[in-house]
Amino acid sequence: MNRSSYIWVLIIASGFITYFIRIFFIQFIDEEKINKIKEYLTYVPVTVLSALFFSGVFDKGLASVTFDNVKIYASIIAIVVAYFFKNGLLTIIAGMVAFFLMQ
Amino acid sequence: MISFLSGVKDIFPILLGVAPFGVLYGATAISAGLDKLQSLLMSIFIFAGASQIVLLDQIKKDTPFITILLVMFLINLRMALYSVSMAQHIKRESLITRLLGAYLLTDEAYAVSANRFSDSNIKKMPYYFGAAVSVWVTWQLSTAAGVFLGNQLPQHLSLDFAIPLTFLALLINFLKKKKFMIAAITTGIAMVIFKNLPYNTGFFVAVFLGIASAVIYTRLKNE
Repeated sequence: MNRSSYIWVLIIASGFITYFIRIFFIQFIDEEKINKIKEYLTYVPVTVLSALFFSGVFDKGLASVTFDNVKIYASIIAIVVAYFFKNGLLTIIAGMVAFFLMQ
Repeated sequence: MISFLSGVKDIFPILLGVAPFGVLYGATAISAGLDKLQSLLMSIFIFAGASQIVLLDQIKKDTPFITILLVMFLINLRMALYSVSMAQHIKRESLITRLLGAYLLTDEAYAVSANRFSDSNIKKMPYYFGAAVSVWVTWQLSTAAGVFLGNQLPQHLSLDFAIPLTFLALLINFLKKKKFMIAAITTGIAMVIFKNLPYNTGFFVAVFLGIASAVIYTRLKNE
């Protein structure tokens, strides 16, 4: 399969997964059933996002923990902006600008 | 109709926050090597901002197919919480309303509707659809703008780093609570340590440890 077809397969498969979750829980699961796992579910988004963020900054794992990794400095600036302004877009812009300037 | 319009009106301020992310997604998709049609149709097939940017990230990293599907499943799991809570309002509606309502479910539409469903002056379904359709239209238009913009950007200007920064931006809302902070930091450290495990299993180990750390923290605090 060439790359373009593979991307189509991924887009369609991911579309199905996303829709499945949206419809399945509306239609087949009630609140009582989910209460048992609700606590665990609330931590899923924050951990998934954090894992993806860190794996983007440290793309070679421990080998990326170096002084040459400018993504670390840019991320620290972005985190400071995030903390003070609580604004997503501003955070992204600050991180990108810092990254381009340091490269 | 009045309920539909008040859904549109209530979601409007939130749309101003949705549009820039649509533009960012569109531009990043082009920069990640997708063609225009793929970038645009992904917004229609998936219609979930975080999931779409996660998919771009996984495509760029050449992650194995099954791992990508598992990651997509996890990132979408939060919608299960919204779906369950929406279910009580939508369960008795017609099949087409339920199918379409599920397709249009987003963080934004859910948040606005959950707020107003207790209001007896509101017809629930028209209100929800007013909010949800507005998000859909905004997302498609801003994606198109981003795809157009992505094509204008010079080749050497890579948007790669915008992807992890988007994940950071989406994290902001969670970090007001200490338990979420603990979950995020534990996951992050574990992710760096276990990053090179085969088949990206380090990702799942990190998520598991993050959830476990938060659960343990809340248990200890309650004793």
